[in-house]
Amino acid sequence: MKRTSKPLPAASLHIVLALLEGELHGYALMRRVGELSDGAVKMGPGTLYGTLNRLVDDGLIIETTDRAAHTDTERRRYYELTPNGRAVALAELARLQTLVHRVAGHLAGGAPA
Amino acid sequence: MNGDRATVRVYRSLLRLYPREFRDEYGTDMVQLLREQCSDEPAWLVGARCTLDLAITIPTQHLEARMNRPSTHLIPLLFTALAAGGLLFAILGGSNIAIVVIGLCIAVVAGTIAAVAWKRSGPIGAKLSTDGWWKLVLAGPCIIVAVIVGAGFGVEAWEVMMLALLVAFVATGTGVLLGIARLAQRHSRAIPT
Repeated sequence: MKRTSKPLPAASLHIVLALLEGELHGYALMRRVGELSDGAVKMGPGTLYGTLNRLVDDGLIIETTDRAAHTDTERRRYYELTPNGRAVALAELARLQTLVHRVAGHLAGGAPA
Repeated sequence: MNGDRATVRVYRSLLRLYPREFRDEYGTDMVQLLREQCSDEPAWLVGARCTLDLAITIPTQHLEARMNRPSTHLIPLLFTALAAGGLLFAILGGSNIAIVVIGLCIAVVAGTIAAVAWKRSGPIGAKLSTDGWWKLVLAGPCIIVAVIVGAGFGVEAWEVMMLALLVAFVATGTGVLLGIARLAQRHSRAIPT
């Protein structure tokens, strides 16, 4: 499924940004999202897996099947960004940076001297 | 620890409220995630967060599952039946212009909706969905009963009743044909090639 340039919903955005550094399993992903947001975003299992499901459907992430690199004894599912997902994540990052710079510029310009 | 176990047990039973496909795909991972959360945070806090999470995500998943469900041919067939009924009504109306106009209007509107619905559900043929054939079969007798009850209560709009009866016959006929097609599909699947 092809994505348009619409901004990602909040949960999807946090997940794709968390996956920029590499593949993660569900719990690690949830913790990473918590770290990136200074603990402000704490996803429940339903939100996390519901969002992962949508992102897989949209072709932004894939479930990785190669477990050789992992030392886990338990069966875990890892997720990583697809090339399209990485492009979308970087585009979102750029959009947010632009937004922050623009708002900061307006605040600096409009602030009383 | 007991609190953890109770939270996980309650959560596992509440997972049944999700659509089956979602539950089958992610249920185990969700329970594992909850267990890991309980090892990091107090069980009551995790439980409270999960309650809110369940309240939001269960309806969302049901909605998504419904939207992703493949469409059947039932709706286009119903509107095709209505269009055919309208056309028959117009033909049987004979010299009565009002009946002819009403019948043709119904046929055009229902036919247009049917055409759009056929386009959405895909062409009839090898992939004909025969799901819900019995609904069409039952629709006919239900309409006939409604007409009889209406007549019993003194409703005299005989044009509407006539149209309803025609639609009833067409719907039941279509349902019977679909039922036969379903039997044929089953029969062809049962024969090894």
